Amino acid sequence: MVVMAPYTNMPDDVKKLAEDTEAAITAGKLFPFKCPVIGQDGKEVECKGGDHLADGQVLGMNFYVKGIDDKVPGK
Amino acid sequence: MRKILIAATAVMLTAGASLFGANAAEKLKVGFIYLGPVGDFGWTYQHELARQALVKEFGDKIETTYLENVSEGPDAERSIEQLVRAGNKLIFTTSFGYMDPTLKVAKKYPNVHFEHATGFKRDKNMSIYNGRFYEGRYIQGVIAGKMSKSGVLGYIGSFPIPEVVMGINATILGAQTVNPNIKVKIIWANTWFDPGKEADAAKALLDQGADVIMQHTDKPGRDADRIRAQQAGVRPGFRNDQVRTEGSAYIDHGQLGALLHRPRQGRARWQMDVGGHLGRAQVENGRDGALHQHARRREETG
Repeated sequence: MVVMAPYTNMPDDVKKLAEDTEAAITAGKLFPFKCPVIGQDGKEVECKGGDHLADGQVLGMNFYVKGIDDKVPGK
Repeated sequence: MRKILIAATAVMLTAGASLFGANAAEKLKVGFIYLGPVGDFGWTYQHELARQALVKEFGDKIETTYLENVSEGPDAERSIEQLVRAGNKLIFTTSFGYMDPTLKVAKKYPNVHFEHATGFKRDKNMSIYNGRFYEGRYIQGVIAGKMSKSGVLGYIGSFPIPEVVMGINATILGAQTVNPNIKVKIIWANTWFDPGKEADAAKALLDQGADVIMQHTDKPGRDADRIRAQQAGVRPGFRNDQVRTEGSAYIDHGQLGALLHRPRQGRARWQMDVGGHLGRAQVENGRDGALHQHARRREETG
């Protein structure tokens, strides 16, 4: 986990949520790209890392996930 | 930067087999090239914590040393070679701008192992390591999703490369956990550093209804920050440089500045304000430490 700055200037419940999220990532319980990751076309992205996308898939990421109403330039 | 620490330890464990094997009685000498002074916060400091962790882990099996304030670019070669000549067999070059100098020295000394931070060039005896910055962006997405009233996030991207695309995806995935209908508007600046363009992008995003703006460009787009701050009711993007540059003018400062980690190509500069500790510590303690001055100097001469 990268080091996060102190969570300031936000309500306590948001701070708590941020801290809990950080703790879960650090503990290896939460993966931002946990499967299924849904692409913009509504289809599941192939899951090569077991229950989350493999590092190689993340390092070469050239698509947007569902919910982003835009296109990756050049694609 | 805990990941870097872990990465460094892992390197030791794997490299250790061959490095220790040659002569078990001989200590492995490990050298570090630091961009700034160690200080007590910031990018170099996090690497120093990793070095200390190595010492703790391997005790008298290793001997470590570091060189501080090593400029990026060709000058770094001399410092890296200095570590080689001092007998270091494993050398960590801890900033992007050391990439080519490291490669050059690595080719010259095939029996020395090199670990370069955040780069993309490798060789038989040169590996790379990086932090999972997208994990931080996921957390920021959660925060942004909670804080946004309009349900629209604004995102200023530099270039549509994987490092940036993964950050955008991580952000919205985080935000969706608290607001499934969250939207994100993206504007590409097509530059790592251009305050004018960033400001234009910020304006455009505000016009599109975004009320939290984030960016993955290189350096504080101060004009953009200023514009954001001037907009009543608008949360400026989260970046530590707001604190550093303008103090109380920015009531909202926070996490995202931590993630500005793309180096300006080929130019020496302060890099990776990881964690945003830099600005915060300065402002809150009312002091202007060596690291800060160093950072500013680099920006001016950058």
